Amino acid sequence: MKKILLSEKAIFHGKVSMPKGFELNIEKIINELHESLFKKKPIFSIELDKLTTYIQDYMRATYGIQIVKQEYSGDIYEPNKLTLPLLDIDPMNLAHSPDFTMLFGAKAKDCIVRIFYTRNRKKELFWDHEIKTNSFVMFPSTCRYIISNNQIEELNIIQKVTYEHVNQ
Amino acid sequence: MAHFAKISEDNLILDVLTFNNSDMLNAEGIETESVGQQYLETHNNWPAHLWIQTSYNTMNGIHKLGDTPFRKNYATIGGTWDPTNQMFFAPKPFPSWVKDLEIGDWVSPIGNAPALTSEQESQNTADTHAWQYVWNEPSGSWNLTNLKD
Repeated sequence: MKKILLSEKAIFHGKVSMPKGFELNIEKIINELHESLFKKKPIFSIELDKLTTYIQDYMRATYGIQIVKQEYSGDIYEPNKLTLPLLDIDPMNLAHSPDFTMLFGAKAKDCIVRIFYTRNRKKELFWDHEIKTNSFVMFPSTCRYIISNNQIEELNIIQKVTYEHVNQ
Repeated sequence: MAHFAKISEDNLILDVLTFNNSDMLNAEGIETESVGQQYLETHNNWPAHLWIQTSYNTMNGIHKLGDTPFRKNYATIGGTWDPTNQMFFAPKPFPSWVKDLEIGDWVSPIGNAPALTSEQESQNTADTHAWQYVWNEPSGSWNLTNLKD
């Protein structure tokens, strides 16, 4: 018996290990996100460019998946709260929707992302993944997700980058 | 054009960049790898020692244009840099395969696949079969396979 794989839904995750002396300036990422949120300005950030390049390089070198950045955004999550289900694709405009959503923990404590997916007739399956500071999780943008801050002391700050898959 | 491989701290080849040879000239006007590394560090936010020069025309230890081969292979994204032997390797095809430092390539632990018999060759030529030895990683052996099956 032989098998043909038509598509796969994969979650990529890990710590961002930049070379010594070239580490991400996470304070700067947080400040830039604050500025973007409060002044409602788009984010232009050398630190995020470093993060984006890191993810792109490793995705291509390790899995042969070539991705390019679509958009930066991010949010601040209050203690003991969870978001409504989030979805980064626009079902009415799939051509301009992203393929992957990457969440980076700029400041994260007890921060869980619940990623929903389907498997044939089985709906509402989910995978819980803890986002830690200086680590990331990336998943298909067609998956809905919920971010929860499960502690009562601190804000969680999560930077989001969406990507387009260009060599599929 | 100068070609440099961007590598990770554990020697995975992440990218290969090309730039003008004039950007790697030292004060005496001689092309120098360390000058190129410094140029790339400045413009790419990646440390100088993790940029390694590579030769576009070198493959398996042979320079296609007859010049001196350089570091056995042109760097391939997903491949590895061997700092001890100063060579680039393509991605490892199977976990059990080992490095052949002579040709700068991965080889099976039991050597190359056996040659096809003349009958198998003639069947391949007649296009009735597509005989080929395929590496079987679990058993560590070459399996004769008809790819038309």
